[in-house]
Amino acid sequence: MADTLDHSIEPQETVGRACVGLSTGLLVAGAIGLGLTVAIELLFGTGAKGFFHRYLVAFAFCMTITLGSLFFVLIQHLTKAGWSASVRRIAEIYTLGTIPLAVLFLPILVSILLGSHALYEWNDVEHVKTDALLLGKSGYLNAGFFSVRAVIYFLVWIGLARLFVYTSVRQDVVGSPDLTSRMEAWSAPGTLAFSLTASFAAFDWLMSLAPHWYSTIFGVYVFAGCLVACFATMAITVLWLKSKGFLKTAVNVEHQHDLGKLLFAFTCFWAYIAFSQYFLIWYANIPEETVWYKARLSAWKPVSGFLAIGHFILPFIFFMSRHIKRNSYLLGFWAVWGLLMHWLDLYWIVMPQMSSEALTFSLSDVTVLVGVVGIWGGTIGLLARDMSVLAVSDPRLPEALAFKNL
Amino acid sequence: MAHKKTESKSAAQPQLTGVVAEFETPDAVLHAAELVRDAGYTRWDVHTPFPVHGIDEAMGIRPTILPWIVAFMAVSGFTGALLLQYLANAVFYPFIISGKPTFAIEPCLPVCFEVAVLLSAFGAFFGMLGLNGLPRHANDLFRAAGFTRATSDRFFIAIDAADRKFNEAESAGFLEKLGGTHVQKLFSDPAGDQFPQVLHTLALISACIAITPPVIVAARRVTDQPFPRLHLIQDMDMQVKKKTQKTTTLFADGRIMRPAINGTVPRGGLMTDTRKFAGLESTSGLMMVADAPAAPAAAVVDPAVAAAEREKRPWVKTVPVPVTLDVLKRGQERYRIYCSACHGLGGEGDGLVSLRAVELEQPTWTRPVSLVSEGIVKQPVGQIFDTVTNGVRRMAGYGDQISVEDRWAIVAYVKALQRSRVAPIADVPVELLEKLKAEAAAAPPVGGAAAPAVAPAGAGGLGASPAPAAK
Ligand code: HEC
Repeated sequence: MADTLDHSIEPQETVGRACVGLSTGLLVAGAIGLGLTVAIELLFGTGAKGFFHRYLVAFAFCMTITLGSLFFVLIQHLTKAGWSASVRRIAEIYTLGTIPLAVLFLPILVSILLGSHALYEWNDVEHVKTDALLLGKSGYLNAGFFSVRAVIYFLVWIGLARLFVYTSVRQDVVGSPDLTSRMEAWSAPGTLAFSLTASFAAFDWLMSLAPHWYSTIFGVYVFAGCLVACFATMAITVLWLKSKGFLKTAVNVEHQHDLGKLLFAFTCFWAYIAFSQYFLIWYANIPEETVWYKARLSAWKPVSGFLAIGHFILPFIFFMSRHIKRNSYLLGFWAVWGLLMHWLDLYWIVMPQMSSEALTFSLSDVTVLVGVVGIWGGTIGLLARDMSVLAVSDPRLPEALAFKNL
Repeated sequence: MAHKKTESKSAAQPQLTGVVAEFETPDAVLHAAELVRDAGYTRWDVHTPFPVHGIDEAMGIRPTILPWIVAFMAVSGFTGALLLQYLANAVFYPFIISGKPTFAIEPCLPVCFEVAVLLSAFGAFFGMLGLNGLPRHANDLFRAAGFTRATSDRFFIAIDAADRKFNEAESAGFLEKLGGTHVQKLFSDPAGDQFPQVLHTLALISACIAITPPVIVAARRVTDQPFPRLHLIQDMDMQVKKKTQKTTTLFADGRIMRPAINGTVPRGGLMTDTRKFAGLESTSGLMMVADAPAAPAAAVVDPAVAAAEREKRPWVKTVPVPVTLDVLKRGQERYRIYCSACHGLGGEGDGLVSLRAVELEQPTWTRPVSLVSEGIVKQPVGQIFDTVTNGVRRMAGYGDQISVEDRWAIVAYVKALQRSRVAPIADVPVELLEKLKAEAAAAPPVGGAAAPAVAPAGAGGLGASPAPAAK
């Protein structure tokens, strides 16, 4: 056992230099992508409305991956999990995404402070005056309070991300198990703060696109998507790093199997929450609740159906077997598939609010995704360039390496 | 019996059923297991106090088919639940509940999910038991010395004597060679391997107790009972709610049935259409039935005066509801139910009740009027309607029993009966005429007791009636 551990601590586990080129490339691609999007939307598209909605989809995509990773890190410490010590650093690195995302949120925030209601109907002050429901909600849904909340969210997330990443990275050098205890102590209040901020962010940024509508389970719905996205991304990253020669000994088929299991579990959890939300609204059949699904069951009905099949039924049937989860190629396929479906899920949450009569798929959906993911991923790469992809001094690492699924 | 005894005695001779060996560490047992596997044994097992990684492989155990059993159970649970709900909601009891479609997939899914989970849990549990050949009430291993340590700190390999490769001398030596200690031979229980008698008795008793309730229920269902059924489960049979005609302390007047509040009209109670509801062109200057409290005063009015007053009321002369063949058929049916007993099927006042009353010379019996007599033929339909609704002289009113529409249908049918008396022969369909002529030739008609076949056809005109139609 001891020699296995020695093997895993290799200096080249630091992705470091190899990543810098890639990160710069991503940043450049990101800038080009965003530029193209603005051009397409202004020249051929629906202007500010189209741009901001598509931008929000891409932003939410990166945001959910990041938040899912943050939750993963928190929960590993909270439960003192052993198996995950070999893959936790990857999630930790993704939590650094909170920093570029704070910057990427600025366009939305600034436009709202300038009074734009391209995205949120509740920011149209004149219109709100004539709308009893929006007037009633205006104490919460107004530009000032919205911005304050957004700032709080980012402060909490960046604070938590930095706390856990840098403590963990310092442990690589210092090797002190006390640092693990410290992170475990922080994980409980951290989880609490996370659950509140993540739910309210989901309400603020995604649910308030339909300001008349409300669903108390919506925060959990988005959270379920966060974890699907996080596990898919972690699986893809692990497979990619291994193909590049990293983590060869530290992450074995058992860990991949576990990532697959979690991805599968949260795919089911997503379906459970999605159905619960739909089911209760269907049963109660109250206009102010059904309106949201009405927008998604007319022109968008094929997308809704595809989402139910693609996001749940197909993976449920074909990703259940342990043999599939233990096969790197198949795991990779279903992880990519899960990410695509997660993107579609967000698209399906956001876009019907812009246009319920017609589907809105466009080239700019791709360019904006490249743009936001590029800037997000590139910044993460640069921030993490000196970090090891393995928490080499984690006191639970031997346990993780010895771990076997029954 | 005696034969059986000897047989069980011979079974009580201890038989060699296997060998068992003890190992100290998981690694030792793992390694030994590999060698046993490689030696080609198939009926053997390893007993460890905790799960040992890699033991499945070391023992050469093929992946279990249990997942497929579970999958099968889950799928059948899901589809079974779906089918059940479909049949119940869409086929057997298609009720619309809170405006939902009788069958929709949404409300079915939770039930399908639950049943799928339940059945897959059963499949996993019972499938596991079945595949392992459990439950067993005894195992020869339990009598091996020191075997209880399999639950704390020792590891065992046991080879079954039923194994094709098993050899009494060699197998024990083989285990010893693999590093096993305390190698023991296993023998069947000299006391016999039977299921304990007391358990048999207990099982029998509990089976009897279990089937008692269904037997009682079944017996009650197929036999007559002089007593009302046992009311064990009250459900909602006894409620605090008040039923009609009961009293209450809730209202000052103690009545549970409340009169309509002043100035309100109950649903369906708005009867402003006097043509339809009273058979009158207008009610001005008339005292209506609704003003019932005034009735005692009317009793002192001279009947002759009242009758004369009644004749002069502005009765409607045409039926105020559309008259179709369906309405007439309905009228015929209702007439036969409500009127024919007295007025006769043909309306001539020769109903069975009346005939019988006359036969018995009942002194108080008033003979019903012939509805096809000249006096009634001349009456406006509104007056006949009023007769049906409120009664006349010795005839009781039927307004409470027959709906307004049905009353008008009856009136229309009475008019059809009357019309049939004066219908020209040309009104009778040719084929019916032929038939009736043939019948008349076969048997000379008697009295007017026969009912007309179908009212509008007016077959009655052919009888012994004095109608001018009989050309
Ligand atoms: C219980 C027997 C009985 C039944 C049933 C009955 N009636 Fe009468 N009906 C009578 C009697 C008796 C009279 C004559 C009353 C009298 O002269 O005092 C009468 C009289 C009448 C008259 C003549 C009223 C008048 O103005 O002279 C009409 C019309 C009439 N019935 C119609 C009907 C109709 C229509 C029905 C079916 C809804 C019906 N009756 C059911 C016994 C009955």
